[in-house]
Amino acid sequence: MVVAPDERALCAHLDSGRFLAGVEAGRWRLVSVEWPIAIVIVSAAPRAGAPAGFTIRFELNGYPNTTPTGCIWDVEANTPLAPHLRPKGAEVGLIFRTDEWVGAQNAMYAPWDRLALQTHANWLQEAPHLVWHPGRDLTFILDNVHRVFHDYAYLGI
Amino acid sequence: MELFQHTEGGEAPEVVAVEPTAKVRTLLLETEPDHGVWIEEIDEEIGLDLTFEEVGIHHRDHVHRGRCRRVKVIVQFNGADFTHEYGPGSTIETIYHRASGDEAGNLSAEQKAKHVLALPGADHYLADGVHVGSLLTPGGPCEVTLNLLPRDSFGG
Repeated sequence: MVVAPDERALCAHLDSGRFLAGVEAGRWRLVSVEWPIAIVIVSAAPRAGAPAGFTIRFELNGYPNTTPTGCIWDVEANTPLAPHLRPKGAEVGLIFRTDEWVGAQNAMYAPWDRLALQTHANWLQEAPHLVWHPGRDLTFILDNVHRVFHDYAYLGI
Repeated sequence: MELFQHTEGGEAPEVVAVEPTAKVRTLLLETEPDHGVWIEEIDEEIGLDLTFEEVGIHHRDHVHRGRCRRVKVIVQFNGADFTHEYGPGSTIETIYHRASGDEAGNLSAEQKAKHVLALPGADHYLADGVHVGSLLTPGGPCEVTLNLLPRDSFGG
């Protein structure tokens, strides 16, 4: 069976020390890869009534040359996570926003997400440390998501 | 068993397979007989002729392999330099703790959440688990300069 370059690139990154070190440290856990979809659970800081982590469903066609997109996901319902169950707080609430933004259901409002980046060319200059480029890997996104789930301003759900 | 091995010249660890009964020396390359090995966050060098199990290294522990016994770290923040020496297996999390604390940047809890460490001119922030010894240039001085800076904002 021939594996396409994008799927092969992801598999290599999932086998890397950076990704596996995060798994070992309990920062994230791969649930499944059914190309081009990868589902990962990212741990969150303890907050009353909130889960120990949130699931992100990534769409990775063209990875890593094409910027990934991903949304916070309800595995049981197989749908984007309902607004009342999403993480709340300053930055995390912005990333997983629930308002009228066009990508609120399907994407992260962040410079590492394809859908958000398409409409925010200004982020290339304003947030260069957070913008996706083909030299990055999935761990770059997971590191940033993990950080906001452990942020001082993360409030739970 | 597998170990996460950190070395200079690359931020990401490499996964290496070793036998628990093998000597720590087996991590060293033939070209680096004067190098040392450290357990993450422990400044004292491991005896190279002890076995992994004798020194208490377990599956998927993090170790550092390198030539610098100490790393001089210069953190630049608000026009001032803060210098301190660390073992090469010290993590960015440890360095950030000191750099943001009252002996250096003296940031409030809220400000700490908004600041990060990065190599000057880099396109990314340093992850908590990166070893400071990994930031050294191979063959270069045992010294690294880091910037303590506010995270990029993308609210609009």
